[in-house]
Amino acid sequence: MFGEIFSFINIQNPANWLQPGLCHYLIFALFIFITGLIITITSGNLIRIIIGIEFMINAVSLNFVAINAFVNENNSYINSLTASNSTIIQNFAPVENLFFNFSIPEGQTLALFTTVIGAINMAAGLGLILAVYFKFKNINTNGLNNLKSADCPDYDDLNTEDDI
Amino acid sequence: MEVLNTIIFYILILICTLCAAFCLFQKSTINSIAGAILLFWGFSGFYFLLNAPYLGAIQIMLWGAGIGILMLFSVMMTNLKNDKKNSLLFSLKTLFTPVLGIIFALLIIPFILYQFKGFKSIQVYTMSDFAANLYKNNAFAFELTGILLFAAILGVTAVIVIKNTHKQVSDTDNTGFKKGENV
Repeated sequence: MFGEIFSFINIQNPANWLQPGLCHYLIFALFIFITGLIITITSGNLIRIIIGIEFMINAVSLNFVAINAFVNENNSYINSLTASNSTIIQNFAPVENLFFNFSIPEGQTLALFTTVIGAINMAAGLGLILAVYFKFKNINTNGLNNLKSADCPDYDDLNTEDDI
Repeated sequence: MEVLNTIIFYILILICTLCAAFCLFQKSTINSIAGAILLFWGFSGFYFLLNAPYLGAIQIMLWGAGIGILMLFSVMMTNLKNDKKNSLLFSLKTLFTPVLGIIFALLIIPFILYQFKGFKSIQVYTMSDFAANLYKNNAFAFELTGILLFAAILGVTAVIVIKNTHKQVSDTDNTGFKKGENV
């Protein structure tokens, strides 16, 4: 599976690099994932943390759909492998178990499940955020410090100012 | 057709990148949510390019409209102002952003060196294919997701109701009258 996805780049014709391929979608999904990670880590309030998590979930969904579109019967030779050609298959699994069915949208189904779980995550998270707000009247990560120990330095004393 | 697909792909890349950067660097949470909604709609464009029209339609309705409105309501109900400038967060952002940028640059090197071979499938899966796969091959996961959704709704409702019940109890004295009313 891994070998059939990768192949050496066509150095003779760099114009092919601009053609949107699977790698373009995966690179973009990686970029969005890292952006979501930065938002989650550096957010000042709980709602932004949820937004960062949703970025990451969307990046994963895009990965599933892109691989579903590009790994298909035109590309995959794994279905043509027989027990006589591969010692790995002989040793570990019968051939019929490795038959991939490309006529079903498995990647899209996984993306749908990911989307639904992201929506569940957001609904539950926002409900908890509201509960926290009703209790503490504050959803800034700096203010929610009831469990902070006395040894932890207080960063609120350093150069804090409100933005316009 | 391929040229048009390529042009649309790069336009969507540009729009989504700008939206992601806008969402990251905005101080106002409302503006961040607007950028996030535009990004989710851009993702639906990618799904249409990848022969997933049903998923693209779900992305527009669920992420753009549904979850966007959910986030806006949460901002409204929490009376959220702009993020306060804080030296700790500033230092975290200054530290993490270049580190993660370097990690990103290192991770894309194998993608650049080894181009993915093969062609995009021309098969467009219809809703009947989608539903057949969902109910035949993934029925158990489908049921589990439904139970999870039900549990999440119940949990959130319970948290809000219990909170309101505590508030009502604390406002009344032992005789059932509100404090100060039993005169």
